[in-house]
Amino acid sequence: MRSYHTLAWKEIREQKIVSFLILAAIILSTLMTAAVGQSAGVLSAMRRQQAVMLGGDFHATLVQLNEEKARMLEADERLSYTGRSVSVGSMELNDLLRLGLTEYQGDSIETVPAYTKLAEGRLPEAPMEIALPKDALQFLGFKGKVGDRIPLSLSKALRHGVIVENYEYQADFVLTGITESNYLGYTTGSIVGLVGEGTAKAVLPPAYLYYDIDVRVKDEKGFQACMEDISEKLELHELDLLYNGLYLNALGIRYHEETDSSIGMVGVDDSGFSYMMLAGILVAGLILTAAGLVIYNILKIAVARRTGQYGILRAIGARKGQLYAIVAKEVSLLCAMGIPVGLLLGRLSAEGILIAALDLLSPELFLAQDAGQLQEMIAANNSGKWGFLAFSALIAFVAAHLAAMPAAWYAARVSPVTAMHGTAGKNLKRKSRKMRNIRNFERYYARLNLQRNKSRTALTILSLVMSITVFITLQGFLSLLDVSAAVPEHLGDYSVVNEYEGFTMDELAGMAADRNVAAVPAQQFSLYELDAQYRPVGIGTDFGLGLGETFQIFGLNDSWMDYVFAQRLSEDVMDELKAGKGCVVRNPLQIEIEGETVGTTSIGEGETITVAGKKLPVLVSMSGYDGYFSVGNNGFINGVQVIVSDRIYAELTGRETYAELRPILEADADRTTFEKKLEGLCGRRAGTIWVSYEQTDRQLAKSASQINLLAWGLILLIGLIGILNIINTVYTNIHTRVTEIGTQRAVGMSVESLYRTFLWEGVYYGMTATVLGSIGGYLCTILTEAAVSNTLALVPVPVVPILEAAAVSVAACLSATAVPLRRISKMGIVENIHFL
Amino acid sequence: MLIEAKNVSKTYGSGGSQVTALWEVTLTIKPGDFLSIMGPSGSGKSTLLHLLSGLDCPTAGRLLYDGQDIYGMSDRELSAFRRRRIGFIFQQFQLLPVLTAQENILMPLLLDGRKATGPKGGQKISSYLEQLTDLLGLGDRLTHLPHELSGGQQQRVAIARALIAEPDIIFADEPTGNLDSKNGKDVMRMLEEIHHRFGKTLVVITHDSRIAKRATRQLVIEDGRLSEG
Ligand SMILES: Nc1ncnc2c1ncn2[C@@H]1O[C@H](COP(=O)(O)OP(=O)(O)OP(=O)(O)O)[C@@H](O)[C@H]1O
Ligand SMILES: [Mg+2]
Repeated sequence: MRSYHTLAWKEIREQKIVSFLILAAIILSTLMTAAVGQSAGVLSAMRRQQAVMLGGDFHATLVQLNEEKARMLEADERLSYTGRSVSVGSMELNDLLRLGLTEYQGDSIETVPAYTKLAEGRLPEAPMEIALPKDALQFLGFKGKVGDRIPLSLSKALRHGVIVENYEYQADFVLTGITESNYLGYTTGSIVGLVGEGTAKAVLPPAYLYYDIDVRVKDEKGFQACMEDISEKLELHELDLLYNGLYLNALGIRYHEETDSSIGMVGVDDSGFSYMMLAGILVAGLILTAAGLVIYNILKIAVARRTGQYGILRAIGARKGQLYAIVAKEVSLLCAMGIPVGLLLGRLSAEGILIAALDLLSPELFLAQDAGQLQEMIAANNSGKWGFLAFSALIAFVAAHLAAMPAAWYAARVSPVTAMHGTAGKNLKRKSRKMRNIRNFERYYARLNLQRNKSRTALTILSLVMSITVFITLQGFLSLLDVSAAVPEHLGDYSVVNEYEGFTMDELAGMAADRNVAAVPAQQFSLYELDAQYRPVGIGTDFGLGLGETFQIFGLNDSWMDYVFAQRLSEDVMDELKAGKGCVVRNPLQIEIEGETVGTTSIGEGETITVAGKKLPVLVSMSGYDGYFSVGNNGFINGVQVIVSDRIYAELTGRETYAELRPILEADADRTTFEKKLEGLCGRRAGTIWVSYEQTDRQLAKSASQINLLAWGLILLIGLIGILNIINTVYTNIHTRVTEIGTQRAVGMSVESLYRTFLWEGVYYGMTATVLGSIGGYLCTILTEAAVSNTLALVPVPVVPILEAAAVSVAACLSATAVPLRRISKMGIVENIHFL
Repeated sequence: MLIEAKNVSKTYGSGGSQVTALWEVTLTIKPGDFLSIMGPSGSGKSTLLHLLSGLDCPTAGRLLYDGQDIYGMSDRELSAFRRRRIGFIFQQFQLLPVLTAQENILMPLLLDGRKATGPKGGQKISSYLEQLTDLLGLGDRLTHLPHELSGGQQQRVAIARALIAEPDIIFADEPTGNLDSKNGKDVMRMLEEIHHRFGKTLVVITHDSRIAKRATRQLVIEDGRLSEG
């Protein structure tokens, strides 16, 4: 033995089972922290990447700077990056979208990767060269190709404080490239086009020539102070300093929320990140605690069993610190073996966990177009997260040592005298000592034994309780996530939407005539805002509406009409509705906003309304939460919705195009051919978006089953830890009582009866844990359901999971008992008695 | 009950490290005998007692109780045999730490599923228990746990446990080994009284020649070989 430290290694090898159990606990806990750490690393990298895609790779933008101020900024030492651009002007594409042209100077264009994905040609370099996204060209009705000239009428706004002044001009550009459409622009209402350097000087009068400077600061902690100082020095108007909030949040840079502006995206909420992180940390915490309990329990027992040895060491002169070091060293050695394995497994599982979780919980979080793209992003970010991995390894290491502390402390405190005398039965206490009528001695004895080491019993039961709680809760969660329930019912196999010009009757007829298509439900849609007198603008009605409402007309063709109303209306009413002899009215939702009630209009069944001079009997009146009408996935817009047949829609609104088509395919349809045709339609009608329900359904189902798998993995993990604890406790119980077992057999207890004693002990463990765990699980189930439905209510008791948990935990307890007990009872009685 | 050991041997281990603890022992114990066994440490006394009492099985030879070979019995039968017909007293007392003195004493009966208290059957047992505890001077210690008793008291509880099922024969392996001389004398006096009063067969291992002399037969073991002195 080279030094007393070697003792640690010897003990590990001697106590194989104890060492194995601790090792397993360390591996499991590292696996979990590593998976969470890796996921956190990937998530934050993705979040940064996403923020760059959305808002650009810079901290803030200072706008409308003259040459002098721009130079001052570029010379500023505190900035690590400055990039110059000029907004050249913008134009209206339609009611909802504008096209804005920007000239990026120098290499500043590299900070906005979202705009520079080329589909064709090259980026503009010289003055008057231009590159536009595909969709912008469609909206412009441009039929030419790269190299053609494009004339545009533009307007350049210049703001003095809050007063805006416009300069209108026309210019001819040369198209050098076509970039990929960037649908993110649709949410802000503007699409970005790029023009070559020098364009601004050529088209704008000097009075309108101002620069926008994108900046990154060197000292991220002093970001806010730095920006304020710069604003003051340059005498900037507060509206001229735009923070890239999304990116700043992703980097964790603090800035003043109230001046938060819309340089990135309005309405992109990244609180989803925090929830996912929180959930991950909670789960990891739970597992760490459970694993810590195992390590604590195992070591405490292992050390207690070696008390005699430690006493002898103390008697021959070992210092307390040396005994402490032996135990700590033992854990360190096991960590050295277990943590790398756990890290590897955790890293491997992180990718799968992330894909499953992101897909289901927040597909829109990363604005990825589909699951495939998301998976690519995850895979691309899944390497080199060493910092996060190292951190999780550290956490696992510290947790293992924390758990080992009490045992090490105990070892160090061992007094030479007590240790060598052994402690069996020394600190036993019993409350009731009256001789009772013992009907079943085995059960009675088992109950007494449970009280022998209360803290060990409590720990074991606690860890089992945790497992059962998690099991029952996740079962409840999974039933909420039922795969088949995850797939919603919808009309048609595709949703094809164009909110701008819509689809003509001919296009509808053309699609319906396709041999792949069985039917094409279609709807038309017009939205009218209200004037000051709450009357719809642009259409005549004989009734007024209320505050905060809109007026909407939907025209449904027969097959869409059947889908919505066939169940609830009689055949006669259906006929009248389809013939255009009446309408359905869906009244607005009444909502309280700042003390005022909004959405008070209510039109009843049997009334007759006049719209655009046509009298329409109200055949059905809907209200409250009866369901609503909308286009695509726009959601509900509050107001009065009048639903009529497409036969009279044009007569009411003066428009005849359809906003949404929902083609239903034949059973043997060729999807590829049909989808090619849809692409063709997109090319003809600018702004057309289509989604395949078949695809989204499949993705949903896939995600649901992945989550299922994940949850089961978690159940397994937690269950394993609980079982580890049980095995350890029972194993120790049996081993510390070998002499007693010998005595029992010597006075005439049969092996069978001996088994029953220990089995009763196992059953008591299992049952107590099941009862407590079931209560815990039930409470957590109520909470999960509340989190999902936003209302706190009692849910039916999850009987099946409880029974399963009971069966599994009792079985685990029993099998944990059976194995070591078998070995011991095979030993001779005399051997038992002289075991120690 | 007649006990016959015929050419009983016991060896431990195998190969080079083989130890012969007992060699071809033949012995007959008649009902009512009081045997003492003496011999140097490591000579095989405990081994012999374990074999005679059915706690361990011999490597060779046969052991007959009233003509029946006890090592041919199943675990169930042998266990029942041990708790009903044999009482064993260990040098280290071997009480179960979670049970009170009374529960420890009654254990062989409890294991047998017999009612130890209450009206039916219990009456007879409780009067016997009272008789025993009076004799052993344990009356006021019955609700104590073993670690709350002195060594002498623990040994007396062990003796009571060995007697409670009214066995035919009592084996005692150095019952006074862990006691001071006064307690040791008390315990021996009680064992002798039990032998006289209840007519039980008694086999005692001892290092004390004065105790050994009081026995009706004195055996000596040396190097695993038995001889009658
Ligand atoms: N389990 C065992 N394995 C190997 N050898 C054993 C075992 N048990 C006993 N022995 C050996 O058998 C021999 C007899 O042992 P036993 O315990 O019968 O002696 P003893 O006469 O009772 O001694 P003491 O007076 O010290 O109690 C000894 O040499 C001992 O070393
Ligand atoms: Mg001995």
